[in-house]
Amino acid sequence: MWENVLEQIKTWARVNSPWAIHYNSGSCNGCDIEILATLTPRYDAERLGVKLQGSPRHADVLICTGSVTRQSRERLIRVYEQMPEPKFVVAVGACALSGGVFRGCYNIMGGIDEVIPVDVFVPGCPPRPEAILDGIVKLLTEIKTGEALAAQAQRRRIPLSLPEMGAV
Amino acid sequence: MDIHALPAGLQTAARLLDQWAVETTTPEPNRLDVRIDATDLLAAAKGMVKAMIHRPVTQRYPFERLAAPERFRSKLQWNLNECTGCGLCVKDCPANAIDVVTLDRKAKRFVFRYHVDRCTFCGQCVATCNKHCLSMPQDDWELAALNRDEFVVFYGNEADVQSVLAGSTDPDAATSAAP
Repeated sequence: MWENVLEQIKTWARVNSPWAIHYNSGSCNGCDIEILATLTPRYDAERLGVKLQGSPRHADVLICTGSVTRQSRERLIRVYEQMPEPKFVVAVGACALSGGVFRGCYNIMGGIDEVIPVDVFVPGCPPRPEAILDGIVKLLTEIKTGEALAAQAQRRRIPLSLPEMGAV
Repeated sequence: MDIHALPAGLQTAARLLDQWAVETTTPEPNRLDVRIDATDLLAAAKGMVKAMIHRPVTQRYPFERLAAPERFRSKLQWNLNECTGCGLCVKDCPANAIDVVTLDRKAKRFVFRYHVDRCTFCGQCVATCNKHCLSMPQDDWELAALNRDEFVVFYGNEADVQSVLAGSTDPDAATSAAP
């Protein structure tokens, strides 16, 4: 009973203040600008509790843009590992989803989900600020129903795979 | 009080203090003279009243959906009836987001596979298509998904799509082209 109440309080807190960190793993800055636009007063993601944090240790949500370059892969993994559990990842933009126009390049690992587990994918080149908000809302709905955590528990049993350099 | 009556250390301290006092109290010639007059007050009052009555600039998006801009390009749509399977769209796509699988060219049995997660929404395929069978409507932009599998979209007749998904083309298909 007490655990149930505690879990409900935790879920409430998670849904109402998803602090985010933004990482650009090789994006052209188009998606980054749209993310910034999402935080401006016109779209105001802070209505949903989204607040940009400077440190991964203070963040619950990792907002990733851009295809993962070889240089960026280890940094992305490091940022992800530094975030406290439970952590959620939102991939924003065509490149973050699949590599986009850079897919198959010699220096590209592919999308974000090739390197770290991703919870929500937002397609677009770049996505509209509303589309990013839509992705955030879908993530929050998933957290609220508990599916996100269940999926994460499933994932955590699988160690993060470090693909070999050049194995695209 | 005569400064010379003080001990030497205190004399120096007193001189320094004097100097500091003069430096800090002398007005700088460049400092702007700030005056507030009635016009400023009026402007401030105007702004205040405006801020009190105007609506917030924030869009209420997740709760209230506004239409996208007129020429916005979102998810690609394909019309089977017009398509000739020429594959120009496949050639032109910079992101390799389109495949056209030809099951039977004469019977117009094509399956159009579209990867939303690769698409850059440049609209080149729409511009290229001779038969105008491709379109990018403006309002289908709520595409976020929890699973990447949802981004592979098949257009075409249900049976044809199923046969392509099963990895085999129909036995009665005259030609087949793998993507």
